Amino acid sequence: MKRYMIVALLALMTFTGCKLGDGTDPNPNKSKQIIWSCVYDDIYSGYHHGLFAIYGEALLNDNQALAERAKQMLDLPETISVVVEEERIVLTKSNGLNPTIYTIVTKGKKLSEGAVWSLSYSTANSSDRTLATFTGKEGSDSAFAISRRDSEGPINGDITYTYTAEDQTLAVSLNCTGEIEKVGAKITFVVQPQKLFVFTNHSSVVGAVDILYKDTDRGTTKSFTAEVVSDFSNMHDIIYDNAVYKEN
Amino acid sequence: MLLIFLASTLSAQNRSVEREVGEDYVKITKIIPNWAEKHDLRIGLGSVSLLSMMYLDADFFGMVDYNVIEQDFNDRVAQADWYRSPQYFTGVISFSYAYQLRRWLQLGGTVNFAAVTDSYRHCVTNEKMRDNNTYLGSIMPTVRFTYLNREKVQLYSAISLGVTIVGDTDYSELGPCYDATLFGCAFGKSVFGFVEIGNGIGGWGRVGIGYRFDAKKK
Repeated sequence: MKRYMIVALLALMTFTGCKLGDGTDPNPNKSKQIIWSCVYDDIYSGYHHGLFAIYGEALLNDNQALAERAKQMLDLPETISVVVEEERIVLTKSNGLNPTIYTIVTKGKKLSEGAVWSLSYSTANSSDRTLATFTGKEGSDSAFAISRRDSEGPINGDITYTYTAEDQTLAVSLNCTGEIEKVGAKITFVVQPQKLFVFTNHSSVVGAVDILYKDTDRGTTKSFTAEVVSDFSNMHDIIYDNAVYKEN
Repeated sequence: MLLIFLASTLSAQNRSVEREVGEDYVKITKIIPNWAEKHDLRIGLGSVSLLSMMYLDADFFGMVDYNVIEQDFNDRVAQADWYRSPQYFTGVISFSYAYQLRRWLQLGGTVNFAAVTDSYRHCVTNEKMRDNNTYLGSIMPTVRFTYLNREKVQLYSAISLGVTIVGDTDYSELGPCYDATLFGCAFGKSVFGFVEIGNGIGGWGRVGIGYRFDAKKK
């Protein structure tokens, strides 16, 4: 009897332990997604700042349709104050007591005349901060070079754009290289020349970028290509779900 | 102090019996204790409970684990190549000792141990990168009230209050804990089994085996 009792109790004991959670699924792309999201942010900021130059050039060329399209793609509000002066264009976004001011210093010259512009940003609480510089190409009214540097590193490249008046399509093409310094890591990236990043109407993006990631603490590297063909209906789709990663 | 006080004030209750043997009426006066002071040793295993999970697994309640330190970017990338294996609860292993002071009262102590185990593994190689186990140990004085005390069956309730230490390889913390046996049933004589329904660190359901023996030689 005692034997049966003990066996029964031992059997019951096995049910007291339990599985609390399934854990997480192995995702071999997760680290690449983290790296790619940083690179994408950098490329996107290059595109976004480039739109200011396109907007400024359209204003100087009195191309209202293109200026309006660029303004929409910059998400600038209708209430923004735009003042075109002889040597600069000042865009003031009023946010109550703390207006945001973007200044494009043109020095009275268009990008298509080979001018070097700078884009700076300031608020009532912060001093002027240069976001990017643009170098025009003489004789070309749809291409310029962009150079920007933030606290994490530089990005340099060329921007070309085409505007189709019929369907109001503005496609901005970005060919660039860049570096990003992070704590314990360095990322270098190159947009593939045959698959440039093209942002169309702020609603779709295609492109591919070669990325080299170095973990300076561990001495490890990752080299891969991230390629996206996606629309902007969900911003995170591009970064996380719709990118295809290929090991280099 | 409570234990010492109760032990010093309580004493055994005896009774005498009279028996009729054959045609002669023989009065046998024998002091038969209707209970005897006993030692009671138990080992058991308990199920999961809210209290044990509160200590062992912050994720269980969706609470933020404030012990997580903001990671550097390269650490985030390195650990993104890991995945977390399924998480298991060992059950609450308990050891208890009680001394039967009265027919209805036992005083003693309980020690519990439990763990939640999982690990981080590499997504590609499946190599174990780091254990992620959390352990819990508790010690509690216990008072057990037996409201049915037969030779082979006892029904009882119990209450314990004490402290628990929770930790992993990197940290540990001390906290209060309790355990209540709402309904317990022990079946058997010297070697016995028990099942309990309870609340607290010991789990909502417990099973185990025990051994009881007289405290004083007859």
